[in-house]
Amino acid sequence: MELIWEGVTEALHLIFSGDAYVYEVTLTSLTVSGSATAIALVIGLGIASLLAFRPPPGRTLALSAFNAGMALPPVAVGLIVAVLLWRTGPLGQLHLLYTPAAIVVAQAVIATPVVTALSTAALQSLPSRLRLQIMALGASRLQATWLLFREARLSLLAAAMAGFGAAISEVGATIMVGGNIKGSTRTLTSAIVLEGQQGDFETAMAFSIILLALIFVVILTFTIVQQRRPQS
Amino acid sequence: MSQPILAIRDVVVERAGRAILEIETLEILSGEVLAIVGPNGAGKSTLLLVLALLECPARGDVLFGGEPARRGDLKLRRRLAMVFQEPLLLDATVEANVRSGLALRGVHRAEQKRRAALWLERFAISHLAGRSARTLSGGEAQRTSLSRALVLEPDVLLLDEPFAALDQPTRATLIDDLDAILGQTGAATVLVTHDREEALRLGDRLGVLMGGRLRQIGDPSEIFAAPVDEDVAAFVGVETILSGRIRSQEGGLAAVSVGEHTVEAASDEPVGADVLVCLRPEDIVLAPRDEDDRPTSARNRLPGVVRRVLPSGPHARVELDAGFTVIALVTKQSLEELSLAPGSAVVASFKATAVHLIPHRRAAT
Amino acid sequence: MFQRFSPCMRLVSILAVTFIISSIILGCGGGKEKLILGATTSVQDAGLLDEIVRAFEMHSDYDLIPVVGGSGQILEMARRGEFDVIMTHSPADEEQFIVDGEGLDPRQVMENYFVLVGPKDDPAGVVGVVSLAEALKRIASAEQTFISRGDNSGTHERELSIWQSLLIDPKGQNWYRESATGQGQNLLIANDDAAYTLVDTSTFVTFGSRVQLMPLVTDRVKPNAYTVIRINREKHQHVNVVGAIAFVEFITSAAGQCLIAEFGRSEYGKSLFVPVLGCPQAVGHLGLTSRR
Repeated sequence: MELIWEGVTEALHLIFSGDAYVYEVTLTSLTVSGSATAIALVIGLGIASLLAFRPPPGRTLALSAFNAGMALPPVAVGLIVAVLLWRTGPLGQLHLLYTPAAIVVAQAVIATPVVTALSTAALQSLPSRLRLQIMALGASRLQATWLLFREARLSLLAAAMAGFGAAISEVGATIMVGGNIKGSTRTLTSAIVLEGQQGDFETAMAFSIILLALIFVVILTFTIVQQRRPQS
Repeated sequence: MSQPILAIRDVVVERAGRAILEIETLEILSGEVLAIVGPNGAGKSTLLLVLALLECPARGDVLFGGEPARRGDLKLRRRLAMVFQEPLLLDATVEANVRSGLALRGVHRAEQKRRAALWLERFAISHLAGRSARTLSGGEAQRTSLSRALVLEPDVLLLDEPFAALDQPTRATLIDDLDAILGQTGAATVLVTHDREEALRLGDRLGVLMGGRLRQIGDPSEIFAAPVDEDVAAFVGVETILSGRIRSQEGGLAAVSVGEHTVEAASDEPVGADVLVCLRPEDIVLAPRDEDDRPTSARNRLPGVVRRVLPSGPHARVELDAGFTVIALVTKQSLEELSLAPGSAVVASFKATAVHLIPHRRAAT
Repeated sequence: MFQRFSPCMRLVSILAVTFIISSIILGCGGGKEKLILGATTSVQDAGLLDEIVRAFEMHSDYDLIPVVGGSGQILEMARRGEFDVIMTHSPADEEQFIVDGEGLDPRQVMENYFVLVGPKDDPAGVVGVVSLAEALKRIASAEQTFISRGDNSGTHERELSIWQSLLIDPKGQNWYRESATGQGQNLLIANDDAAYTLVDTSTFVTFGSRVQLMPLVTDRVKPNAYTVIRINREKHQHVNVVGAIAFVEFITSAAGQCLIAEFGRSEYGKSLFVPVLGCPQAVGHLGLTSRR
């Protein structure tokens, strides 16, 4: 219990003393997970609108795959991505391994099924003839998709939050493809692991608290936007 | 002759390999209200979607002003608007909903607001402008949906059973209002409904769609008087429908001039109103012309000549010519006892309370 | 203008801006040539690895990328050509590695010692014993709990070689447990179980007050040597030979050796790792003068 309390005080100290290391790993976490979530949103929303509005044959199979993907073990994803990006692997020429970009890729792979499955469900729960009605008012397909996204924004934002949560809390794949290198690929989660391995539990706890606070702030922002009632 | 603004040519719509809609030709004339009736599953909604350019037929064309329309052509689609049975409003204010179609077309916001305000006024929902669409009653929501469509000033308005989900009093008021508005705007309208009353009230022409085919189309009176086949007859119900105008009104008893005759009806419609006079065949009593004229409670007595007799099960349909066509239903026994045959001179009598009047703004002949 | 956007549009634009900025941030830092070092976990756990990376990058134009794992894992990945240079402490495996032609020019750069640690009450009666072999023998016959690294690391290898020399096979016995974790974790597990385990001196010093285990036998005869090996270009064409040479030269130079010597001095009062080639200014490494 004291360890948690010590962690809180250490966390506050680290934040307010402007400790560069802490800001560095926090920024890395944010940018990497933010980018991964953005990618997952683009891909996920695209696939979701396809599956919901212009269902291809075999839609159920595809949807099952994405639903199952929500349970993808991140560490397995990390291993697969690492093996692909190894210098001697098929994508080795991209020289992505041990760079933040590799982590973005791994986290995007983990977040995309989450976003896709939840977004598809969100779009499918809209009234079935709403799309027809919007088109019947003169919307182009793109306009219709945009309006329908807005109609489903409550659930779509929840999907985005779920995707972000999956990305930012990830550690197994992050270390495997990123290498946990100070200054470039060390995120809050991998720093927590490292501090733990080094026996420095107060710092590990402090980082954990900072990570929790960060996640809360981001999700709070999303939730505020989500819950706003329509004005004019 | 009005120019057909929208037309269908040799259209076939297929689903799972089966043809669910097959229409050789259909024209929507500018300024008219075409009512399409038919049983469930007849393909009425599909027909509207084809007209809206939202459903692509397997074969055939939709012609816009004479020219075949390209698949889902956006510009042409934007000259149409459709309202469904469910209001299908967006999760926004009433005003924002009404403006939504204009926003899609890139109209300036100020202009959007101006036009929306106008239509909110016309549908008497200005007081709801700032309310969230989720809080509306069924009638209010459907008014919003109609405003949203009409604010676009479409060349053709497509209505898919817009009143079906409303309760009777709400329907009645809304139909009245829509009737007036359609009269003012003069937009061509296709109204799909399963309610005959609505079809008669609002429609200038009536089309009967059954099993994906257009069985009969034309003047409502003709269709009700002379359905083209048994299926249509069974669906629409045979009836006498005449156009008339109210000449006088005395405490609930209206005198309607129909052609050369006067028909008395139990109704509150005001003097000068154009109406459709509807008579069910079973309400008409036939008697030979030269029986003596003892007063009966039937206030209406029309002399006429039998034109045709059509057996119908244990009864017979008798078509009379009284200056206009009247259809009566009699038993076979009566047929024999009165020796009714083509050429017989008869008097058709019916009570004022049996006459059903439907106001119709364009009923004047 | 931002005000005109609906809340959703604002969120979308924030996302887009984030994405663009992060791409720029993430994309930058390129330009420097990369050198990939495979290092064993004990070097990272002690905190020395970060120092080496920092110092080397200051001294040279390379972007040193350290990848950490157990010695076994490092050597395996090295055989796949994933590294340019490695630092491990597993002599037998390293020998095989060189014989197989995978690595060149092995240099011992630093060392520490293995120490057997155990509970204060010492149920196996190990105190006073001189050799690790004798200690393990007593533990085995007393059937006292022993936690093994179990991960093919250098420490694990040393431990296994001792069992082998004793002709004892502890695997499967209920007093013998494999943790399959790094140095620090392994030590914590042993501490929790009040069990015996083999650990290196650097880790033990670093974890100091956190564990209640006592150092019982330190093997000063056969130190735990860390070796740097360059990967053979002939076997793997992607290897950055020039960079690898630069690293080896750095770590064996006075600058590198003194860095190693200095590490941990201020915090623990002594060097955690002994630089094999020695640092001219340094004195008093773990009680012994530097070897040459």
